[in-house]
Amino acid sequence: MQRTLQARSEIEQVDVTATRPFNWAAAAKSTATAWDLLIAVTARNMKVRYQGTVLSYVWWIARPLALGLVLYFALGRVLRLDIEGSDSYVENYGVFLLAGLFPWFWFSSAIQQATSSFVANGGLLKKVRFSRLILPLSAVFFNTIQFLLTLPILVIFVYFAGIDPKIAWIVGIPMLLILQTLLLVGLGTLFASLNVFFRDLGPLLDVVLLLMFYTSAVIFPLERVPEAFQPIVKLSPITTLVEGWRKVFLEGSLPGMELWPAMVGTAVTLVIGLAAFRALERYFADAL
Amino acid sequence: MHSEDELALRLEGVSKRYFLNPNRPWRLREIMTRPRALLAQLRPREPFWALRDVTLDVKRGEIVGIIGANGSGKSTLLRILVGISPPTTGTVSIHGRYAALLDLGAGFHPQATGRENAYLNALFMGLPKSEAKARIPEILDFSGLEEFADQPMRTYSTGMYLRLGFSVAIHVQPEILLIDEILAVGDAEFQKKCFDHFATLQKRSTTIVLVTHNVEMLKDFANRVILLEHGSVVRDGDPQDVTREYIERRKEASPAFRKKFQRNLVERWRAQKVAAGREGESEGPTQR
Repeated sequence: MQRTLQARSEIEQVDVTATRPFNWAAAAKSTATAWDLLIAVTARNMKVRYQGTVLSYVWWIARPLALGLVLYFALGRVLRLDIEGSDSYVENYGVFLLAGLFPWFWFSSAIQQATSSFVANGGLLKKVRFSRLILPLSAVFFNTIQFLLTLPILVIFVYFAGIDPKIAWIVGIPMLLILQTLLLVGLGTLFASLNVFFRDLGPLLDVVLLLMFYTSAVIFPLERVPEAFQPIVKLSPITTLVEGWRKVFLEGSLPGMELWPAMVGTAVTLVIGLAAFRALERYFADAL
Repeated sequence: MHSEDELALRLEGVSKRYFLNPNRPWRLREIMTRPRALLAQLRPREPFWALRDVTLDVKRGEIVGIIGANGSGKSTLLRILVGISPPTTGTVSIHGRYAALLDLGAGFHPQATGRENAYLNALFMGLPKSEAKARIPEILDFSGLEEFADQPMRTYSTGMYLRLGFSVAIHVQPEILLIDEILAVGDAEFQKKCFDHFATLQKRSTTIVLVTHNVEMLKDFANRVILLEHGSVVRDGDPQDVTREYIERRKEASPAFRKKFQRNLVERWRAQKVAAGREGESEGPTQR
């Protein structure tokens, strides 16, 4: 065996990212493998998360329902949003609340889980080479599936409020589902990548989400917001999404161009999120 | 069939620099309480070269052992080879499908069963879903863990983790297999099984890179051994020669250490004797 060590007097800077011709077949194959992995990881996380809890399904819906109940009492009854004839009357306020809270809980817990996904899996990132993007994606999909599974509960409440299922649901629900999932993928990937280097992002996010909850028209209708504050409230992409969900469920009509803030927000965060991930990915293992 | 001289791995002038006082993660608290901390970020940090100008070619079908004292850069070398962390300078190329076993239980979830983890681990190593499913029986058979396959991994011993992890890694049928020091936790029987399997793998012209302290095993199984010291390759060649040099270098390095160690031992022994003597006085005659 000959010695292959070559003596070199000084270290020279060489570009590590050697350009290779892009191989479409290989890319398609690795994307398919990454997709399989994403599904398997999400399935495992779902299984592990609710293993050993007897009432797993109950726990999924307990949080939005409990919050819905107290908010209904405080705002609907005490502050009279659900009392006909009062100045602040909102039609069907109970269902109105739930139609906002379910998407909100999906949004906030997906963001929180995605943000910590790289840091929480530091050991794995340092030891195994795989498509790391699947970690925030799986956190988002996990919550998307949970939301889907809780939708029937929302439908039951809507039905008992005297609103019949509408044809618009068939188009409206998937449309908003895809839009919100993409928004979460963009935000989740961005925050997860930044969180590796800037760990304050987690607690900071908790505060921001708390502020967003009360300013994003989740618990009040957008048109009640004073004119001066409207642009600020509309800035939050979740505002338009929640308004969209309500339009579908309560009015049975399809949201149209009023979704533009959410669409623009989704496109922008997707681009920035994936760019940040691509730029920072190679330093993850050394920073964790 | 691959030609004899085909390259499996190539490292050219690879160095890796870490910083001894890393200023990440950025903590908001530090910046708030000591704004000067921001200035510290501009100050040059003390570099630590974990690898210095390593140039290495590994041919297809070689079994290469890497030895060296703790902290000599063995694990860093593997991590760079696999592409988990980028080299500071130099180029790395790896030709062919590889599987890396850098840590016990990386990617294993303690709550999921052995079977589920084996499947997921195979996906993590890049196997498509259908193949991963098909290989599960072989993987469990080689690991000898069929009996425990449906128990959660948290009930497994360290040795069982190794058995499962190793079985997955070899059944992914990699062209290049990289293993970091973990075989040591296997019992003698399983270690022998692993090394015997290396012979089979070599017939398929699988390249194996092995970090280990087991000098005897290297003498028997490796074609070539590389000795690392302070991040540099100091010897590269015949297993007999290099392992002998490794042992000699350790002896050379040891007298000062041995003296200090002996002094410590003597002091401790004296202290014990004094304590025993006191006890002896109260309890009666001591035995010499």
